[in-house]
Amino acid sequence: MFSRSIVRSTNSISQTFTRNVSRNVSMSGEVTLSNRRIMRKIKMGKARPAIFYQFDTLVELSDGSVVRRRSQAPKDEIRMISDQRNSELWNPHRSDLVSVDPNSAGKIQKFNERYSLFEGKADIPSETDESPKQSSAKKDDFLALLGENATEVQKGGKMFSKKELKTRK
Amino acid sequence: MSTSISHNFIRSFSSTSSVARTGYSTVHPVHHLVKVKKNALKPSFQEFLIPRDDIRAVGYKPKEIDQDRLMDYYHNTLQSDLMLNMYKHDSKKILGSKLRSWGNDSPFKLYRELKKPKGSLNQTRDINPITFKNIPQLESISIQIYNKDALENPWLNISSRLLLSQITNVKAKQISAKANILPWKLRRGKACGAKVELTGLDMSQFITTLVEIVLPRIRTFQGIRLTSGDKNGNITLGLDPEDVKHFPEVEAFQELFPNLDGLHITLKTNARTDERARTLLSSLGFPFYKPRRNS
Amino acid sequence: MIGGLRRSAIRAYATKSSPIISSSLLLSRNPVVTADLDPFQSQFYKYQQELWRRLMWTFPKWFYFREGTLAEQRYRQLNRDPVAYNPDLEFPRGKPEIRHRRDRRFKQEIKLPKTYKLAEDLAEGETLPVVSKNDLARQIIPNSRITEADKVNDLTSLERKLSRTLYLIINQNGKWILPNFTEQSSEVPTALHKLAEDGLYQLGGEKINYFNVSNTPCHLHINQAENKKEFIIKSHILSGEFKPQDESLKYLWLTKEELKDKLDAKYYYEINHLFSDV
Repeated sequence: MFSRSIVRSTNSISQTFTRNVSRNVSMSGEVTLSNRRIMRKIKMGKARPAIFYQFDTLVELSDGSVVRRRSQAPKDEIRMISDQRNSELWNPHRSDLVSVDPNSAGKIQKFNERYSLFEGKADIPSETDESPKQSSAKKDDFLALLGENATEVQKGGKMFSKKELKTRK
Repeated sequence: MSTSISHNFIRSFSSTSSVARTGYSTVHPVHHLVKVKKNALKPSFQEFLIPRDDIRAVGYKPKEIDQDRLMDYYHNTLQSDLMLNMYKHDSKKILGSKLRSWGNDSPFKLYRELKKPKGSLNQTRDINPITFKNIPQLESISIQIYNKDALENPWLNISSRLLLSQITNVKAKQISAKANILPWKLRRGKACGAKVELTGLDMSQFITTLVEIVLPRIRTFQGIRLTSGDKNGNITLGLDPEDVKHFPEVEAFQELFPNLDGLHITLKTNARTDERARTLLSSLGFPFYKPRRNS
Repeated sequence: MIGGLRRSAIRAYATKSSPIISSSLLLSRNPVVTADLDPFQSQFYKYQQELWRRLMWTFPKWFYFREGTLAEQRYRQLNRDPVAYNPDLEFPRGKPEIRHRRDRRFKQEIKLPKTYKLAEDLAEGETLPVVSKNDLARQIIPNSRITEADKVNDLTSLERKLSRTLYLIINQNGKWILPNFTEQSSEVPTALHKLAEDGLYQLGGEKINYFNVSNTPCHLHINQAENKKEFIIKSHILSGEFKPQDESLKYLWLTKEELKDKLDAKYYYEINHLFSDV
């Protein structure tokens, strides 16, 4: 549906790594639940509804808009630095938000650059080389939702291209 | 009476039962035609008879405590847009695959259990064209934590439930294993996680928090996979333990949550197809992406 | 297809010319802030909110503020423990029922330490320090729901009436209508939504980020006077600015109620179901 899948292979690799790592439980030896805790028994039908104490928290988003939310944490004001309003994924039509992915020049990116051909990634450039005019027919609902004049923003990461490969050889 | 029958026996259609029984009347006394649960009338149970949404009930919980920003947006703006957007000229009802008859050329086939639907084991629903009556709407969100570490350290169940209650403001329920799987140390009935079902204001707040605060700050987040969904309009996404710390409640008090758990979030809609559900969710602010085949 | 229709129409009604097919644009600016509540609604919510606050569990202070920490000290300064019942004292509000340092007869109200100075905390003769705009610890004050455009009642501003949906109307020959665009050359028919988009850019400039809800028109208005079929295309303006390209263009951004006064009564009655009440 979206032509968003162009780059970003680095992320999915790192994701799979983190997910399969076995977690070590902190405080694992320190907690003992006493079985002598005696709870006062609440009779059937006498239980009050579970309503946690909640504060009205004002959250200021990065564009200055303020929303109110109910939160149990004792913090009544939160100021966000990064959120939906300055996220590239939610604002693809804004060019002032483009930030370089810190991972882009890292090991994974280098690995991808070197070995991407094995995974059959050579077909990527054909997608990316298209000018926005040509691919406009492919533009789907989501891009339409962002406005007709919205264009895909390259989100950090060096894009693979045939030209670069040739010059490197 | 029965003795007299046994003495001068008259053959009738069903004489054997009356003959076999001795000494008491066969007419059952009829006291109640409507079954009454008498024990429910106990004075101490009177409070149960008051429905939960009545203010006199002990378990009464006020629901409409505030303006619902998300639902206001849905009703005022989104609903009519969705109807127009999903409108297809001349569209007909798409019939789902149903149980089939074996034929009616023999009484055996007529009364035989119906044949399985074509192409699938279960029946599928009909898909109606979108009208003002069936515009997709978010119904509830169910969030679930499976905590395999809790099998060894049972106290982790408390922290999972606490985590879930903190981020949703609804008291979480304990879940337990359904099956015995010995390699995973799973035993049926062993507590290993938490779940919660959100509706109403809590649901709206969870969605706005997710969309405005949590998901944009996950660096690796690209959107919900387009392949996600159960074909009936319920879309699931997962959050890693690392991602969960972006919730404002957790972020401000990280030392209180030394063990974070991942979440399985199912967004339940009344859309009949995943495509419609995705349209609804993307209009509520969830991005979607197409996963690459070999990644 | 349209061309074919037109030809057959010409054949059938040789005397009357076939209607011109045009597309009208229902361009709306969605509400930016939450809807205004009427007095009844706000009272209802207040009542429910108070009930809810009354039924709340006691704040688990022990969980968030550990005994002996600095944060706990500041918390205790702000939230004094309630006075326990003493038979020698008189309690005009009734006998307190203290459970977990809370009088359970009333709702619990907890004050939290702030990151900034409040006006009521100031000593005599002290003034509030000037806080810079970049200070992350400054107080969060929600922006005003009433904008500059509201104050001067600028009907052409997109920033007026933030809690309402605004619709664009233009003045054509002394009549207020939804912007209507007719195809220039009839050789190659243009799609209706494309016609509306091109028209919008000609009207308000290219610096508009808009979202076309559907290519399907949401209404057909038959303009008898001009022999026109007007298909209404629904779209939202998301960002950017509406800058009239033609200096003489009169345009307004109005809510539903205001549209009723401006539009022709019959025209309004026909299309009012397309406008949002909020």
